[in-house]
Amino acid sequence: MTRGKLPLVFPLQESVPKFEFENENLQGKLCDVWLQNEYQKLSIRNEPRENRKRYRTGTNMANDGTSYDKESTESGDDMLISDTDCNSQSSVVLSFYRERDGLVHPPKRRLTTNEEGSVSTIGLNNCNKAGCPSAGACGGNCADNNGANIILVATAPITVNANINSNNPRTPNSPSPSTPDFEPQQLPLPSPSASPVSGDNTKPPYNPIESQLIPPSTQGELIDMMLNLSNYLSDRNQNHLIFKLLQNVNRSSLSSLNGIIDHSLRRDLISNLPLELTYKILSYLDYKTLLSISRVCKSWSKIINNTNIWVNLLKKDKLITDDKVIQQELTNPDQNLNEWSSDSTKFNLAQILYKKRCIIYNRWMKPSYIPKRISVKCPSSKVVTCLQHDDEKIITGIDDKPINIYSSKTGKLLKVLEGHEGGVWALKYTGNTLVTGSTDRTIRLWNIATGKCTHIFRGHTSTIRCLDIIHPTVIGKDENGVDITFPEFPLLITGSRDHNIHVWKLPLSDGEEANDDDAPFDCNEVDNPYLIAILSGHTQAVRTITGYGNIIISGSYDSTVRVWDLLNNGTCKHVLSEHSDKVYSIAMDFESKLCYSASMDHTINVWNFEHGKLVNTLEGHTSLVGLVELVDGVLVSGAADTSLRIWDPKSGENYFKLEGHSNSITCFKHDGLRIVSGSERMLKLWDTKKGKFTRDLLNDVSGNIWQVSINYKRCIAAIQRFNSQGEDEAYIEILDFSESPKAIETPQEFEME
Amino acid sequence: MSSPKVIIISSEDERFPVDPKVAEKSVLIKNMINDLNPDGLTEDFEIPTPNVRANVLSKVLEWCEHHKNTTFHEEEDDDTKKTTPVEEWDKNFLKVDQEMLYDIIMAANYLNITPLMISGCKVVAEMIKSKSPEELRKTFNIVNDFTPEEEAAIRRENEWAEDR
Repeated sequence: MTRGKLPLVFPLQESVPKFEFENENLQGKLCDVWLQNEYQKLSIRNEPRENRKRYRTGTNMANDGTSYDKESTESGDDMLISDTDCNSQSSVVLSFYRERDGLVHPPKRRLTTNEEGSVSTIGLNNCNKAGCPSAGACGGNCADNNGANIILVATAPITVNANINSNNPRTPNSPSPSTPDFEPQQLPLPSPSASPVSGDNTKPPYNPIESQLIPPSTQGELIDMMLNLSNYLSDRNQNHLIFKLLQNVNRSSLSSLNGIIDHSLRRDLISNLPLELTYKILSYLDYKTLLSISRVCKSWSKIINNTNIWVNLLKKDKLITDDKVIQQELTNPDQNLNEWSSDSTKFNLAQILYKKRCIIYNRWMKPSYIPKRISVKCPSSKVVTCLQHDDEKIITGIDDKPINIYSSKTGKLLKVLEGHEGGVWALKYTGNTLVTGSTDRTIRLWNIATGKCTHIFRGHTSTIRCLDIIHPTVIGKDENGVDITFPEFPLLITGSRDHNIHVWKLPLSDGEEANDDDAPFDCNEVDNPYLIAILSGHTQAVRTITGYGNIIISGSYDSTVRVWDLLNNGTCKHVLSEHSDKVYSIAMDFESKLCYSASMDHTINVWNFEHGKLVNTLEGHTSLVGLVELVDGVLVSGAADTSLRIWDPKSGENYFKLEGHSNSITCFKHDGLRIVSGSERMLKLWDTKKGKFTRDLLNDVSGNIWQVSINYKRCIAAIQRFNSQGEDEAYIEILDFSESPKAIETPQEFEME
Repeated sequence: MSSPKVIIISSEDERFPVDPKVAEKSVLIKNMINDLNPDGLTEDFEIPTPNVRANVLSKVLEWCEHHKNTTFHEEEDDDTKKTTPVEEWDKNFLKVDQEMLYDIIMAANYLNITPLMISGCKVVAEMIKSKSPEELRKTFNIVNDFTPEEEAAIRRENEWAEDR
């Protein structure tokens, strides 16, 4: 349209009717259509498909305005839907009756009609009575403007419908105070649908068009006559007629009509789509919206009450990413999970689990929330060199002989494991088996439950500085498509200042062993049946080591990263030597075959460990990068330049630089959602997604933060503090964000004996 | 002579001749063509889609035509895809009344046109996103059938998620 040109007053005038609005078979005989309509009425009950088709064909506004509503609201029932197959007139009236009288009609009602020749009464009277919520107002309107009211009354939507259709498809809500004399009639035979409404006389079964051709004398009679005549048209030609009529409707009236139509086409998309599509839609929504949906109506509430929705959301929001953990939480729920629900019998367990995890996460991220804090003074003030924790226990290694086990819940010192003759610098546990490496050049295995040392592994000729445990895992498929699992049993790999890596079979402690008095297995290197391989090649201390499946990756002070393949007798597969200074930390992603090495040369190198190629160098840190960790597709590094950085592990893009510490980053842990980092006097929490500082977790530390460990509910930090005499002391700080909302006294501890 | 067409026939027997490339956006149709014409199309090929009415079919084919050269990545359940917004063209294309939107989604599902189905679902999700229960009822013409007690119980359970 050119600028300034006025829009058409009758916008549809130039449009061409398409599809169901096209005319058809203009030579068709009227009586044929009539017969066909009647035939359809009779046969329809046994033809649901026909029915369906009719329903689908029904965009035409006059005829099928009803079918949408019926299909989507409970008030419509199957009967009514089928009714739209025949001429909709009588069915609409039926629905009106049903609502008004609260009658329950037998199925045969579809063949009912309640009319007589008195067609002339329908239009206006019916509008008054049935069509309009405010009968009085509308009545005046209709009566006064009757000739033009198809359009003029458009402000009263229902009336327009009533007029176009001679009935109101949406009558259910329309009170109709004064129609006592309408009675539906059972018709044994087909009856002309052409006489839709009203009157109490029975109607002869045949109604030739001639009977309609009584010259009208009033506007109302003319309308009624036209409506009735239109019923002699086939469905499609009726549509065509309506289209033609609409072409004479001006813009503003079309607009009113459009509003009515648009409103009437609203439908319950959630309940009516096939369930798998509904779930698809819901998978794009956040928890607040899902909870809002659950409050809309019963059927929506039921849809939301679904385990998969909440399990998927837990994963999508990274609240729990491990399927095994979710399964475990759902099949064997924590005894206090139901404390997180107002009524745990009514709501889905997965939904409650989501609620719990989300509330706890929100607490972390809300600086005004004060977690429950326990400060435990350590038995000695020695540096805490390593720390691992779970819901029951915290195990620490210090630069001294004893290993301490504390309760995560109370902070109580539960056990002290003694045996090492030097400081412990590496520690890891799995299940009930703890492994520690010490400056005394030995590795000790412990039964955590009993606190007994079960094995002493000798062989390294200097301090064990790093270790890792490799669990049996599926590493691929053989030529027959069968999973290959490797290793067959858990392995322990240890890296030492003696430049070597030892690979051990790891004997697990399955709970309490009977003979407490047994001395630990102790044997020299040569005879030790647990020693599988010695990997030699590094020319300096091995500082960091990680293993998965058949691959071991080690980083050394000799500036190289080495890749070892256990499937190939532990031979060194690649020596990755692009770093110009010591390598301090390594992360690996077995799936993508990428590993990340953090070095004193300020960079992080990204390698393909399969091909032994340097893929990328992540630059930005301006000092030693001492720590790098990859969790759930997020790579985080911490450096001596006081900053942390968040990277895309695939592209190497540096998403965020986290600034706020005033000293070297000494430790950090992250879980894909949050990062907790420590430097002198500071323990900070960061939002991984936003790359922003969230809060200080501890404000009263006067010394170093040595170690930190987090899970979804707790943050554990090993810190140094100076007392009033200026002496340094070591503390374990426990911050617990998981207090039950019901604030019940802590349930009885079930600690290790 | 022009190259052979695929003629898709709507529920009302309306005929829509389209290029095979366009029709093959529907995996269902693509498989039908391939299964029944192992040597390739040599003449026009008719495919009735009795579940789809002309109005909807023309709309769906408009989408196929627009996207005939688009390559879609099939890993649809990828996390990143979940957060990808609907493409602008699709978004405008799907600015239709709810009945049409419903029909398009159903047709895309039936004809196995995954990207269109996903766009449709995302558009519905957009209509729902961040709305209050009352707004949702209005948007989708839904009657609140909870008893006050039921409503209160759900509300209590969900209180935590309300804006604090």
